Amino acid sequence: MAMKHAERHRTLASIEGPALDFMTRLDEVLCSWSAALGGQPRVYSPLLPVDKLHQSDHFSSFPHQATFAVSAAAEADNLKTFAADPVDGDGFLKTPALNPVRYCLTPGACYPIYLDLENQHLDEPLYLTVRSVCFRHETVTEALRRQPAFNMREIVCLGTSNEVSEFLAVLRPRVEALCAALGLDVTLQPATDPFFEPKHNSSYITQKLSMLKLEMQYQSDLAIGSINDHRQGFGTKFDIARGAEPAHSACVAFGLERWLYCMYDAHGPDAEAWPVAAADVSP
Amino acid sequence: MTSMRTRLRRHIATLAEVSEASIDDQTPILEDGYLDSANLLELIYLIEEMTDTELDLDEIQPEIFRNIDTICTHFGEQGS
Repeated sequence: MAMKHAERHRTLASIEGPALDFMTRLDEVLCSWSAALGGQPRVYSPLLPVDKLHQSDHFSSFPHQATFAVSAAAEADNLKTFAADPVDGDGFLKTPALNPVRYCLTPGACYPIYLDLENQHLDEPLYLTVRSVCFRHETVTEALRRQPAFNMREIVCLGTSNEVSEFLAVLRPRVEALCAALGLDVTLQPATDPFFEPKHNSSYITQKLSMLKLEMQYQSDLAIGSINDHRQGFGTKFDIARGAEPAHSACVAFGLERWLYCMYDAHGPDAEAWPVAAADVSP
Repeated sequence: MTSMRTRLRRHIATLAEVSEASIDDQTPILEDGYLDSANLLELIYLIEEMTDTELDLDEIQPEIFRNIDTICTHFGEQGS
């Protein structure tokens, strides 16, 4: 069973056999939703330049979740010391002197899109889908439910306000229909991201008061995905234009390991007996 | 003493760069997009100043901030 490795190590979940088949099929279904909108799949590096992510205010909003790609500084003595004794008795790195940190590990699959589109003008709405391993520092981890590294599929639209609203109006009922077809007790609930010092963060205030984020809540306990209206946030920060204005954007995000967790929880360990994710779940 | 309603209307009109006359107590300030992100934070700070209390996170709810009426109903009619 896929969970056996997870039980041995709380941050790693080996996904294999029918459970992996399910996850692959689910991902294909989500990609087909993007394709039906004319969306193109893209693959990005999970490393983001820190100065670019800073441009999105990510570090001021989520400093507690940021993770970085670091490497040991090249001085011989530093490397010698590190090589001789790299890990302490509690399993933590004995951190050597580090090179300047240029990259962070992407916290969400869609961030690279906005960085990539910086200073561009869109002549028509842009639909994309991306999948990435995403990284977030978590104080408590649990296999499949809360992993510091996890797979996220996102379907993204950039366009005018109306184009983005239509995109969300198309995908929202599809999400609900998919959950119903898979026998998952999921409701869409207004939510906010876990902002640092939220009351002093204008993005938090706006997200909450304008209900810009809906979470796919499994049994009102676990968010397995979210529907996010960014309005012109990324369009403004990265100078992406649609028409004469900063582009609006939105993403629909799916935490694939969490979907697996729900399937185990709802239908038991025999993944071969689970309902199959079908592409045609249009309501 | 300037009433809370008056101060709110004046403040929202200034932030939204519209005339005070274009906003009444039932104008849906969120739904109609009168305030952007930064302006909403300014509004929170103004309410804290008028009520002399720090808003609880639970009080930042769409139904409370729907219009000037709902804000005044929730936070009282204190003026300063």
